[in-house]
Amino acid sequence: MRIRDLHIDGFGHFADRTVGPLDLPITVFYGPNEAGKSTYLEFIRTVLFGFPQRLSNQHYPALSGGRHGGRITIADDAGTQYAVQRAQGRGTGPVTITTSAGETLGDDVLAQVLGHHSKDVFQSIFAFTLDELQSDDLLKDTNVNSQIYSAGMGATTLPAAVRTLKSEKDDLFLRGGSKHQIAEAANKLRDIESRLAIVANNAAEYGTLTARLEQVEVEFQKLNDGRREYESQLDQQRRLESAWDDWNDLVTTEQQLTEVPTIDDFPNDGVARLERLEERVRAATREYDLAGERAAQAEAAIRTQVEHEGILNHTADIRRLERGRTSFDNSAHDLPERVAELTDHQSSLARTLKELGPGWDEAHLEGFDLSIAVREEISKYQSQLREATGELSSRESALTQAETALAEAIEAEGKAEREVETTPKPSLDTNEIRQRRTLVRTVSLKLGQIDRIRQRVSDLRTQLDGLTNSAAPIGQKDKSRLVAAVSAVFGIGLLAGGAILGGTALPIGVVAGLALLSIAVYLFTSGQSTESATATESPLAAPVRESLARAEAELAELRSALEQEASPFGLESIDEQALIAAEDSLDVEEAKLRDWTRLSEVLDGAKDLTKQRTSRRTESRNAVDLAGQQLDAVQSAWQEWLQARNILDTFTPETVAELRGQVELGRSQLADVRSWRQRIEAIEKDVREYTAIVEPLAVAFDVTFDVNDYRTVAAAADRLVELHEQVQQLVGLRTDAEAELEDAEHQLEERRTHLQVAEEEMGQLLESGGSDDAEHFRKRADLYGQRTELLMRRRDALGRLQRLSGPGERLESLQKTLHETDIQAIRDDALRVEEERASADTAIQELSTERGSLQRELARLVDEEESSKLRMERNLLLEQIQAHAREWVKRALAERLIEEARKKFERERQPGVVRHAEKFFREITDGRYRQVYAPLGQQTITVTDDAGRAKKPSQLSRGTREQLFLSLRFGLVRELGERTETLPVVVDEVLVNFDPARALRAARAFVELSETNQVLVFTCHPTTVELFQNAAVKSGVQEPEVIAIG
Amino acid sequence: MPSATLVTEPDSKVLREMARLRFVHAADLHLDSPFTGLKAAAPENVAKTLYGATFAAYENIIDLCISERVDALLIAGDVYDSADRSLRAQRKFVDGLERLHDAGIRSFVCHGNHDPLNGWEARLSYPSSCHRFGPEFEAVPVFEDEPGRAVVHGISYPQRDVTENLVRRLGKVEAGPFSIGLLHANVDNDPNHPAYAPCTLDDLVQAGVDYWALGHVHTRRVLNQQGPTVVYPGNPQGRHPNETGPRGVYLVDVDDFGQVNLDFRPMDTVRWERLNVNIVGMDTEQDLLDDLHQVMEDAIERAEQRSIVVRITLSGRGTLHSFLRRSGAMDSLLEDINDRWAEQSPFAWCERIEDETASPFNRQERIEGSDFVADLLRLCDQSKTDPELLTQLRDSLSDLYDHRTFARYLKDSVPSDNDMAVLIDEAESIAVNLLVEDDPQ
Repeated sequence: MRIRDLHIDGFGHFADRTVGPLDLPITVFYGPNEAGKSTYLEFIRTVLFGFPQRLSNQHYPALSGGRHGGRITIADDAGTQYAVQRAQGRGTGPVTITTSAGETLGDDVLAQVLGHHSKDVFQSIFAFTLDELQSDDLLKDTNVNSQIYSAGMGATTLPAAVRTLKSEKDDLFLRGGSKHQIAEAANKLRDIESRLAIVANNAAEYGTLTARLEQVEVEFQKLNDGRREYESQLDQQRRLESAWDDWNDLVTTEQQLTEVPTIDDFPNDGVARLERLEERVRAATREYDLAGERAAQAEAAIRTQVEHEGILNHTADIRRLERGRTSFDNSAHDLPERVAELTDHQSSLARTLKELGPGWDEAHLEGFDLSIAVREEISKYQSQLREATGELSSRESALTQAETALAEAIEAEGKAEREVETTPKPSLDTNEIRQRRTLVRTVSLKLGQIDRIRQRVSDLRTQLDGLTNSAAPIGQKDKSRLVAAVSAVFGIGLLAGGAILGGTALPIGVVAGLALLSIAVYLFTSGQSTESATATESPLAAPVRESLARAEAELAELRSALEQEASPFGLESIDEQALIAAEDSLDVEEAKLRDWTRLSEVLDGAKDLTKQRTSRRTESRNAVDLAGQQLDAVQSAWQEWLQARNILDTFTPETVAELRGQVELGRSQLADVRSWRQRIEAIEKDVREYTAIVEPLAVAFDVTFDVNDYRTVAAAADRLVELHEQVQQLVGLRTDAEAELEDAEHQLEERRTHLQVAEEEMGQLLESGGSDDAEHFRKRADLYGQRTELLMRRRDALGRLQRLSGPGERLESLQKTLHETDIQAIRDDALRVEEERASADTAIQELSTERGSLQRELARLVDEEESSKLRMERNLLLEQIQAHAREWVKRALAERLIEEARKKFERERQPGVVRHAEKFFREITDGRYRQVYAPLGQQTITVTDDAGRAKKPSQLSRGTREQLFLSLRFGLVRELGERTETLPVVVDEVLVNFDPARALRAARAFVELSETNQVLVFTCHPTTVELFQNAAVKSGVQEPEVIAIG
Repeated sequence: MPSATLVTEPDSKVLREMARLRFVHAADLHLDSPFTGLKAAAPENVAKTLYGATFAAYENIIDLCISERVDALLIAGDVYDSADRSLRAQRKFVDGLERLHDAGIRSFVCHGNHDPLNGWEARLSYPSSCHRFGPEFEAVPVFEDEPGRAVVHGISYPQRDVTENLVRRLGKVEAGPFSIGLLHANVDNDPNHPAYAPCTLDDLVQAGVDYWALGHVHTRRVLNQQGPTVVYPGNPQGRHPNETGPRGVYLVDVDDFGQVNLDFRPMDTVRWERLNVNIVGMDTEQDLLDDLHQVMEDAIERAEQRSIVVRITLSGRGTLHSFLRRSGAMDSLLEDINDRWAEQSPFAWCERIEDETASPFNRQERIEGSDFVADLLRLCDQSKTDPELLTQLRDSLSDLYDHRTFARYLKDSVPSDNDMAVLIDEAESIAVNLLVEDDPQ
């Protein structure tokens, strides 16, 4: 794409400024500071890519007037031209793309012509200033660095891969390190080996311990033999010691036996048997005595006499008195109370009869009809009367509501009528308003077109003036034109006003407006011919004149077309303010129309409502009349019913119901009175009967009472009952005593027999023991016991001696030895042997402990698993070390291979952008820097100087860095140009920091670039202009166009 | 057509009745020598079993001798490792021989490179029925009351490194009694074992011995079936991940005609297994876990009630590779496996899961490209054949293999040229996995 020309309507301090056509490959814009070079650059960026989204009106505002924006004519790589017109407005500013034929195209065409590059790309790569050149933002731009940094070359994960490898490698082994896995395994291995060395000594220790065990076994055997000898000696001594006591015991016993008399025989257990028999005799004697006492008592009881024994013949009466005693008491006690209650009931009945009225007595009460049928009839009349009354009341209430509603409707209707009458009627209807609005829009468009053409006419006139040498004073020419213009404006205004206002204004407006327009045309054309008659023209004026004539013809044609369009309505073009006023007046008419329509609708609604409510009131009145008639009918029927039952016909159903209630009450009271009378009679009868029983018995058995005092009667009854019980008891005792006497005599006989038996047995025992009495018997028993015991002791002593010695002669030998023995000497010898044995025991114990320890230790040495475990661990660690080593080797090799591949790759496979940039950079620096490359997997650029030293951009001087960034841009421009539409390169003072030689080479690089891309250079330095000119000459191409600015 | 005659192997009892001689041929017991090749510490229950595995196998051998009522037990060297100085090993060995003595069974022992005659001994008393061969060939009759029935010719290593062909010392054995040669040797230069007492099969054949009871090679092998029978029984308990499959001894029956019947009897109590699981086609971790558990279950079934130590290798290219690369993923899998299988009895302990998987990656296609990864692949290929580049790569490893502290642990594992080629391939795989981790297939 190339820029053909620029037209600034208003941008910065430029207004209505045109530059172009720009037909050469390189154009240098030369102007002093503040001439507007940067403004041009920014203008190009803005028109092509849009205003900033925010505060766009402050982006190079049109300080000198004119519409904020402008137009650029561009030509794509195929040569097709487009006009790109953009102005400040919403968003990035409305843009219009038109062809040279005037056809308007869509925004997508612009995007295509711009190679679908964004504003950022254009600014970063194609159109940049010195500041942008100095910044390293280029390398950070994501649109750029993807072109530079080997994207898609399969190495995006390279840095991470290298880090991972190194990390894994170092974890396995790191020279100089001590925390890696191989070191840790080796440390553990050394520890295992030291422990194995210790365990290896077990073998030597085994031999030593085995020899010692043998020695211990020999000593152990010797000590055991010695101990056995001591045991034997001690055994002998103990025998003699224990035999010595038995021997003494034997001798003593035999001595005592000689002193005790001999009793050959005596009853076994004699004393105990004697005591048992004595106890039996005593017990039998006691029981015999008790049986005798019992018999005596029974005889005494039999002889006792009982008074009033005859009462036992009246036992039945006594039982009746007993059973009726409580009832008699209650009856006698309650009778007065009952009588009092009867009196109360009778009084209540009398009152009720009095309330009912004269003539009411008990017979009348009983004769009154209280049936359910009558009650139902009363209830029926009661509810009928209630319903009829309620209905009437409801109807009357509805009538009142209907009359109120009707009054409200009448009032609302009146109010709506008044509003309609007072509101002015609109003059236009909806269709008329719509038509008027359309007219205004049409007029506005036409006006715009006329403005543009008029401007063109003005421009051409100015040009023509410049090319002619007119005799007419400039002021006069201008003056007549001014009058013509003013006349035209007023004429149009009158036409429009008449059209808008309509009515009588319309013809007036049309006539006046057309008159003024005619005057304006005359003035304008007469001025022109004067000019043409008197002016001396340049040869160049003819084409200008022709253009002017064409424009004027076009203007007239437009005006004529507008007149034709507007004539049915009497409209022609007006200015903007008139159009706005017309629009406003249409808005007012529209509002009036809406109000009028609304009020008319309200009035119609009110009238309808009034009609409805009048009808409702009439219906309510009819309902009230009907309800009144129904109530009268019910009341007549009720009165007839009362009269038939001789009840006052003024009674209401409620009153009759109350009368019924009183009659029911009276009947109830009458029933109560009768009941109480019966009960009192029954009580009195009970009392009489009970007294009749008491009286004869009391007389017969001397019990006093008063027949009229129920309390004495009750006391007498109690006394008779008590007397009966006493007699009964005494007679019973006497009967029991007879039976007792018989039993006691039988028992007495038995006890006598037991006593005799016991005494006989005791006599036999005493005789068997050789005694006559118990005391003597006991003495003999004691002597016999002593002898027996002594004989036993002698036998035991002999037995023990025999066990110690053995049977036969050995016993005699032992006895003999004992007879001759010194027991103390034996004891002393035993102590000595005891001590020696204890020493031997201690030594044996120690040897046994040592033997056990040796055996355990030997078993442990043989069975220990520690060494097996350590050997396994050692092998395991060795394997681990070798496995870690292998893993390390793999990673070290991987690292090395990646490094070699990376170097090779960087040497041979740089991206196209970098290759292009390298070529430019080498040329600009005259070979000082030979290589530019992007290290694989890194986001940076590196250059290599002629000494092979690699440097990053930050390590270069400012100028060289700018040259590098310029070269990268050239590379990007070339690379992008191979794929999409070429764009112009627009630069602003980018060579100022270059030394002359490099600046010239850079200029030549621009010249080379201009073979494919248009180059626009902005500068304030004349040296820069000369640079480009020289560069073009040296490159053998056409010199650049130099355009002065300011 | 005549009906086929069913030929069956005579059972052990019948053979016993028919045999002129019956013996058990064992070798390389390596009592109390630790397992090698383990890369992870075993849990307590497993470790205890591993410590005692060689002893348990030996006990099984003694039980076999007694139950089969053999005439003799022949052990061809490497009973234990003298360098270990294990009292337990020697004590247990003697205890076993004493059991045989009590059962009236003779034992013949020669010593090899691990237990040479000049090695350490605990000075234990061997039973009188056991004959231990010295540094020169001796001919000892199996049956003292029938010296003409069978004779054992045996020799032990006087020291560890015996590089002489010991068979030459035997000379030619004359025909007569059934002769057995008991020797610890490397026949025909097996490269997997040190070249001690090297000899050829022809040397053995020419010696005139009827049965060569060999030791030294841990994998059982019958080098010659008859005339003479030359046998390596292998070790009775595998102690290395490469020593997979059943391990045991040969029960040998010799009939009156000198025909030898070999009957292999497994004696091991713990068996090694190497399992492979390919991740191709697997989408989820659960798929992988299910497969892992399945292969473990299959391995247990094959082990016939024995405990097993398993090393699993994951291979193949698949989407699960990225999951496996995550920190802790392998440990998590290992823990899951062992939680289920390692605690039971008999146990199945997975000692290690090796990740040899790779992300879906078409090497052939990528190497044709022009990006960095293609360059790397081409460089890897070049490095295997470019001596200068190979030297540079090897030099880059010197930091480790020449380290003054660690070199001694690694001196036997310095990569050879063949190793380098394999290592370069593995390095390439690591590099590619890091660079193209998210590359679609």
